[in-house]
Amino acid sequence: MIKKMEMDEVRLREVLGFSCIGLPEEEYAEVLDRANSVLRMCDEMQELDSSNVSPFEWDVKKAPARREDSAVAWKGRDRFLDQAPVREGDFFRVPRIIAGDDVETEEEE
Amino acid sequence: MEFHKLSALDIAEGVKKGNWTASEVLSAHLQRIKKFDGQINAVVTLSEESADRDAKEIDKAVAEGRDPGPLAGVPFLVKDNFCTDGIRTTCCSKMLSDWIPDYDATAVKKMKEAGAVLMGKTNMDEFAMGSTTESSIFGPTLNPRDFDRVPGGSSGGSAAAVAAGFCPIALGSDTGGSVRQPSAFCGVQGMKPSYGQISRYGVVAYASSLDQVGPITRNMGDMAAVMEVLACADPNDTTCDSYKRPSFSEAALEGIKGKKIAMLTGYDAESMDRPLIEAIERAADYCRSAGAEIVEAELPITMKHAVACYYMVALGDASSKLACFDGMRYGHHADGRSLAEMYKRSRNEGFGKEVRKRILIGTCILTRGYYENYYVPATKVRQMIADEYAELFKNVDALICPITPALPYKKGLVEEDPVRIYLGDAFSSIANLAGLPSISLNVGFTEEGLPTNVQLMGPRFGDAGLLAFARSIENKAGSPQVADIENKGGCGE
Amino acid sequence: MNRETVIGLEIHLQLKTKSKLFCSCSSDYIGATPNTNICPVCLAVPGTLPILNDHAVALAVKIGLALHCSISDNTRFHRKHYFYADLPKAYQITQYEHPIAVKGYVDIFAEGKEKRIRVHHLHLEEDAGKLVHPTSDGRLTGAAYSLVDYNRGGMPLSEIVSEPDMNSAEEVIAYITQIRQLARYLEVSDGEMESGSLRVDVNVSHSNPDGSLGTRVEIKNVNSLKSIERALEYEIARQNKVLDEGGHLAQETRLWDDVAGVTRSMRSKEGERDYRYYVEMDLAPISAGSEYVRKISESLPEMPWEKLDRFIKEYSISLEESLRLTEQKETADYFEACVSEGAPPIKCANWMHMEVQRILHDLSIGINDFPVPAAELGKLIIKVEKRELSNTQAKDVLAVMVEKKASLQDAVRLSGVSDGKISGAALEEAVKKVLDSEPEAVKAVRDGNDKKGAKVKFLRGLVMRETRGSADPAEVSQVVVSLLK
Ligand SMILES: [Mg+2]
Ligand SMILES: [Zn+2]
Repeated sequence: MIKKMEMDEVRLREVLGFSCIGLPEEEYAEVLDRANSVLRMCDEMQELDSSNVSPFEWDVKKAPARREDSAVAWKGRDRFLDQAPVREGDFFRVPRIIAGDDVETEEEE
Repeated sequence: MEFHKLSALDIAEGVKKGNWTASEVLSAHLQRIKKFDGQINAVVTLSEESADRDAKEIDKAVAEGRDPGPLAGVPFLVKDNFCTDGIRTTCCSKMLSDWIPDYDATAVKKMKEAGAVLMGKTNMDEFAMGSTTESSIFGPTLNPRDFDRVPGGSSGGSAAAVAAGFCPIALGSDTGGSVRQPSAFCGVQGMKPSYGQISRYGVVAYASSLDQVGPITRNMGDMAAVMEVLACADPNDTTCDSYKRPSFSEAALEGIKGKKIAMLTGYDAESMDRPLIEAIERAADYCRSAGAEIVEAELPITMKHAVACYYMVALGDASSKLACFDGMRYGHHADGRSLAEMYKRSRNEGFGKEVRKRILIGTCILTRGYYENYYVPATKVRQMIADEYAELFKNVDALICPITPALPYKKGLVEEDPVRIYLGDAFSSIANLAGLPSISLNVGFTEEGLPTNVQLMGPRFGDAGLLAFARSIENKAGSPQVADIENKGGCGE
Repeated sequence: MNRETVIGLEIHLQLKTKSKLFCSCSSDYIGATPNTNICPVCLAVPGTLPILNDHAVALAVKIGLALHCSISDNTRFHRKHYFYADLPKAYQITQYEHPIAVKGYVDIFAEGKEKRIRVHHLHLEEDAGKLVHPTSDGRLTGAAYSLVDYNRGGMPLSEIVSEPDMNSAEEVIAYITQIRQLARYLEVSDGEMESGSLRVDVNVSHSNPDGSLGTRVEIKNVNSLKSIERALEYEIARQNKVLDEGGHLAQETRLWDDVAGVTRSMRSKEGERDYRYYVEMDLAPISAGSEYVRKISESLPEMPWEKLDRFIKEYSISLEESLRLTEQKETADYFEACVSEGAPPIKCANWMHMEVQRILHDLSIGINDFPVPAAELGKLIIKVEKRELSNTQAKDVLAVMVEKKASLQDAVRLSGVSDGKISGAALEEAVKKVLDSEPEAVKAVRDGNDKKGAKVKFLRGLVMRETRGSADPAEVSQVVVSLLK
């Protein structure tokens, strides 16, 4: 059942897309090395029998109440928009998006 | 009057009695920062104007006979990942280098309400990712006890500031030891309370289920007082428990006679710096002489798997919490022809190398295959670690163990031996995984003036009992003094 | 050919709360200035944390109960990660492994019979913001940039995921209609496709002869029942064609193009999409304890299908009539208020179906805006029953009640039917109306070309007909003559 996995270039390319981070090719080796040293550190943990254990959850002494449904207007709106990197009137502006565009799998140019 | 050597409680008492004013105390501390911070670089932003105004408010309250609060006129600094209304909050990253929040983190708000005076923000590893405070865009902080060494991290600026006498109290955030390890390196007292004890609202997240606000002080009396101010439910943070807290100040005064304290065994003591082993023995002796019983405890699952488990949980969550930095609504922005290019360029330019690396590894951990084989097992192991501690604390009241395996690192080690730095989290990260209260307590210095701190851990929400335990030891060990930075680093008088 | 189309739906209902799902921003965003219903939480400002809206939980539990689901007493939120301009945190807080309600069903009427559609689960999640694509010529392509409005971001949605139990467009429409009806009965959502408070994603595949399910294709961007019907028609034909030709279907998401009338592949790399779901630790586990659920279940109104059965039994009206009356809760309530005045149910149903419906249609208003109180209509129907008014008279009275917003009593007087007679001013009005409608005859009389009095007789006859014989013939003659002068 236990699968020891390596992070390789293929997965790294995918992960770069998922996390919207670019990396020059000459730095691939360094990141792969670091990632794999973390994974190797974790291999032993995989072998621990945790079949009867459920994933970690907090013990709560007294749960806080959920929020009552009432609307409150935020006073910082104008100042926030003023600070926004690219603003267009009442909007935030971004480069052109075509319906169905997929940010994470966009090919590197 | 050497205000910078006073404890927070002494300062507050003097302010309330009219022995001195909050403004006097503030200006003495600001002067000290201005005089010496050029050398150690603990403070990244000073907010003199608002501090001045707040101090005058306190003085006015005293003059008018109003209660100025338990921390009246106590100047304090907070790590630069606490949001502060009107004061830039950068996480020491280019990503947020000019971001000014319009709200105070709940912890900051509570301190102000208690009469404390916010002076500014302290240095840290970028986005709290590091153990040396060397990855800040504002440059590294030096250890006030020894300028050739790092102050630890990621709350290195806060610990260094308290050690240097810039303030009697500073706040940090602790995800895997980020308050307690720098407290150990700088020879001050640092605490990570139980998860859910203090609101996280307004603290820029590293990992949601590990992060906790932690105070740094020079003595346990101040620590208990700050805890009393900070620990309470918050409608803005539902992970903060709403149980009714005991009085930490009163609890801290209780003795530990008849209590049972476990010393951790079963780790490789040989690979540790010798003075730290001796410090643990010293701490145990102090406990014994205070009337406590010492037993031994082994925690096999924890000792074997904690670091790995910690990295899975922390990096996975960090990749998620740092995804909001996309250059669109706030923070560093770079243009791009497409949305993807804008994101990528903004994030690449805004985040430093270490942060980008951790995001990549964290993202990988959450993708298909790795998630099932690594992340999910880690969350189960985490539960097993929590269970192991719950079991232990059925029989004992507290645990003594190392907080770090090493004395403060020399500068630049992070480049030479990153794995050693990773493993440095072995002892400190356990408390975050299991949500336990943990104190990094100073029990003296080496002959060359390096601090030796130990770690005390207690059961979840047993923070008050743990404070009593730490205070009893401190009564015998003495509390650390302000570093002798006038003479270029040292252990003080 | 043993191939059958298999359809499952994901319906997103926007919940009727005052504030958003995880922050206190107002939910009243339609027509609001862009980026006014925003705050640090829904903008993902560093340091902020989500705080769950209790009312949204209650509404989700309500729908869950109405769909015969079991409610989890320990449910969790997950993060679903993807970068997009309308998603500030770069993850959506949604429910994944532990949704709030699971395993339910709903019965629909389609193709003349009843059918049970199973509900896989119902979960809570936050909505995304909105993108605007400005262009000089109004086309989508060619815009230099896009604009983002976060007013909708963080709005509470309840996603109802059905099992793939539908086999035709008709069943799909019936299912959506049923869910919409339920949402409105429960007052949990407006359920309007036009405004986007009810949104549907359609999953279409085929069952193979061995019973297994074929490749699933998801269709997005279907914004009305009509477009769902058309999209299904297109997609079923497309899939059949591919399969008939021995081809393979890709598991993909396709966008419905309403103008071209086709579905187009939107995301060909569906298989690679990895949302990296994991538990949202910024939110404590939600416990909707049994006491909480019990309270909500006690507050549930009568369900539409329960009302339907009761109407048939209690009022002895036909299934068809009962379906019509219970389609909207407000209509059913109106009907019952009418009946409670003592009017015969079948007559009330008739009046509502014929007269009220016609007036609503003419004025294009809903039953809520119908100006005649139910009790008044009930009394009017009783008058007909007691033969105080003829049917035609009653219809006139109703028309006056609508037009003049008059009470029954006033309307009866104004129509001049108070004692069964039309006279005086009311009669004059009727005569004027007739004269206006017959200008040629009037002209003939006035020009003196009605020597034999045939035209006057003709006009008098029209007035008698207009007044349904309830006017005194002598008075009619007198008024006609005097008005023709
Ligand atoms: Mg969804
Ligand atoms: Zn909001």
